[in-house]
Amino acid sequence: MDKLVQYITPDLIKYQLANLSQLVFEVTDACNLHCKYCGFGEFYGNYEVREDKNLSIEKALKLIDYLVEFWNTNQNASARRNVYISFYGGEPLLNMPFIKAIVNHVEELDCKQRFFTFSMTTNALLLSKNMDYLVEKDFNLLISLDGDAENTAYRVDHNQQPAFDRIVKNVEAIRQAYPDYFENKVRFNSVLHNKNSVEQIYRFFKANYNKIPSIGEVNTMGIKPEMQEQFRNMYQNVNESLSQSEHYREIERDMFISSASYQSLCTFIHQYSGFVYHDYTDLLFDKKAAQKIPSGTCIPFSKKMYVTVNGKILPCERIGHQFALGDITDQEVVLDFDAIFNRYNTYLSKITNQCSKCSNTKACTQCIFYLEDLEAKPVCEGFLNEEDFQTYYRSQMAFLAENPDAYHRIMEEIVVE
Amino acid sequence: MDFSCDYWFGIFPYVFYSKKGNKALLYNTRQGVVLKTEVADFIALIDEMHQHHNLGVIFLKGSTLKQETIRQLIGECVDKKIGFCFPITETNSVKPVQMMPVLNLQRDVDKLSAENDRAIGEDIIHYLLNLTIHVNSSCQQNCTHCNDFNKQFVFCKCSSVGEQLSLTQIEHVFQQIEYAPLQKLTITGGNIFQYPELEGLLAVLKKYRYQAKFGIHYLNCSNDNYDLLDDFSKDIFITFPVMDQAENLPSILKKGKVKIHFIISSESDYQQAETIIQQYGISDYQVLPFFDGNNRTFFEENVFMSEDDILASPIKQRIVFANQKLNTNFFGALFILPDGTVHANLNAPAIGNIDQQSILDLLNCEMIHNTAWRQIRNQHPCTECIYQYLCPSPSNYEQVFGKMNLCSVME
Repeated sequence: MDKLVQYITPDLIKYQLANLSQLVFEVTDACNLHCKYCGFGEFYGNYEVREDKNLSIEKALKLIDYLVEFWNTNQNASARRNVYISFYGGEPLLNMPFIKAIVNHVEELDCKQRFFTFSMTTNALLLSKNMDYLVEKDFNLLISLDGDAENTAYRVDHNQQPAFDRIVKNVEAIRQAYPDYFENKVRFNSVLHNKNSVEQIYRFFKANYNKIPSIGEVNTMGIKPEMQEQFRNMYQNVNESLSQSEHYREIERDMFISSASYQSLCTFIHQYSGFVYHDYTDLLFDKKAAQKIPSGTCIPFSKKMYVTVNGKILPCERIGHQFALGDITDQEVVLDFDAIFNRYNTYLSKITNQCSKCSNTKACTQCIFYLEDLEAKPVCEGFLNEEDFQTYYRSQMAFLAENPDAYHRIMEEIVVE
Repeated sequence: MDFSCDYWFGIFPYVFYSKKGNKALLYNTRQGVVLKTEVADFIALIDEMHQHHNLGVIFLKGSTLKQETIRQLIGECVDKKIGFCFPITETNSVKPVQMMPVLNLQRDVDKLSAENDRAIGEDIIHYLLNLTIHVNSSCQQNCTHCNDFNKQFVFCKCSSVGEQLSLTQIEHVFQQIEYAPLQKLTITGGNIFQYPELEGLLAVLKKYRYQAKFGIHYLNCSNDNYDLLDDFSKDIFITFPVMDQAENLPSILKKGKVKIHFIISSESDYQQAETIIQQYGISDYQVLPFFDGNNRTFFEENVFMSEDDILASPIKQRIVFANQKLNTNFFGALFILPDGTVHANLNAPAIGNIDQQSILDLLNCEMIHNTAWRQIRNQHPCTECIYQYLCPSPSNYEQVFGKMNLCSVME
């Protein structure tokens, strides 16, 4: 049995809450679209049942007030810190009363060491109707759209009608009404599947909006056994898709850090150049000896807190709801720090041995919650032995040799936190 | 070397390159080895290597090596493990690249201020490393340079106003810094034995489990309350001339947890300090030169740096970077005076007052306004010196001399 090591402590978790940088609400589990590849759709079995529910305003406010208490303690490390208040769905614009209540409450908070940025991921179907408010509150907007009409064919409504025309009409409306806002605050996110390609997505957004979208793959976690084959048909790997593009180097260069290859290079350079420092004290002291937790898993709440429509509290929206760390009841926020600490240390201890033999621990991005069989005997798919690691190292250096200007760009322009 | 074949000529990533005017320096940060040159053709090759698209390696025609000076310098590069030069063959025809020493400081003040959703004040408590609290200013001693010592190093300072911090003020500070990674907390005065709430202060220090050090002038140590400090470390300051051969030193040393700081202004002070060290068998001590306004020669001979001093021990790449971004002497320090004013350095203007601002706000203020913590060698004549960022950060001595460089490199 792997030894249980205390990688995190209850106090460390509290510290993360006192210094939280993003709070994400699943505003509603209802959606006015019925996308084929939706993480809450037919392929997946690792989420709570969708019941067209809205997250309770009272619960959300309770959580914010609970967090404000932490933000006002001596564990707060910041004189000024931005906190993202993010609205996620389902389709968040279906529950505007919730959004307005939260925004009002946040704007009235007595917490002078915090400022807030609102953000939202939306399918844009209700964008025209709500855009004045979103612009007034300076929301960062991430619009989901997979390319042109054909590329976006999986984004359909409940009557199986394609949503593309309605989405682009609304996008056009906000662009016309608020061109500066559109330029600065609106971004796009596309899902890659078998009806589009990286090149098609890239060209669509470049030609129509002069923007570079982020491109993600369909989530591979939690696929129902009976849906495996259908899923495989739909799934496409971003790197493979890009490499099949006619002008892939040009596209890749223009996409820069939005492309998987440059993202990977960025991680590599950040971890292996030896010249990236987190803050000023890293320059003062040699911190090589500092203990790193195994895998690439985040310390809970070090990046964000995600609240499901049922009031479950998770460290991230991208992991299964079975890994909820707490709950908001009608009475209170329940976060048992000892239980979280035990759970994390138990999980982490299960892979400590693998990590100790892995040659890529410095640049590991593997989250344990993505590992199969985490409760029993997880096996890390990101494990690299020395030979694999050397192959990885050489491939990154080869990519760098082909794109030498990227080095200074990454070192001088990219802030990863 | 074969002039008929071509070469890959490159520089290792741990080599720092500095060029000023017609002079260039390559410094191996692992071994502390330096190569200095004024050969323009060679410097041009090194410049070419440092162009972004070259990533530290260039194609070198074999015929270039016919120039003897170039050939010798490349040989020196290889010998000093500063660079490499090998013939291009079929098996290594792809140009190698290096991850060059480009500093990437994620929380660089300039980067953070350029981002709308970031703030310089993020996680800023982590920057508080060294806190000195002058709890009172009363003292009966009459040290000649009392007002000047603490402009050069941590030292007690008296004033006729007799201000003092209340225990409530001090505890409020301790509450705020409970989670700071404080490495050193110094409590000094005035004469701390004249601080009326000393016992209360000791209780508060124990409550917060601070390993505080007390800074005391040796003449104030002959006090009945000295034993109250038995659990704490003490910095004992000795100024010259020493009264009665510091006859209270044996009893101070006997009680332990003591570091002696000799404040010397001359060679004869140093001789006396040596005598005392030997006489009393002092093992934990420090000798601190003090500029009294009249001992410039003493400083020129003993404190000013030469090229050999700068290069005396290997300077790590991290330190070279640090010298470009922060002041390694001042960064992380705050000084709280008996009236509550706070300085990042006692030669710099106050950044605020503990009664009006939180410690977090004071730290933020210093990071933004940079009265001391980020003072680097970015002024003449250091900007013209190839050792600019190999040289240690400016110290208090530069401040009191009113001179950017205390060295014999750039007169």
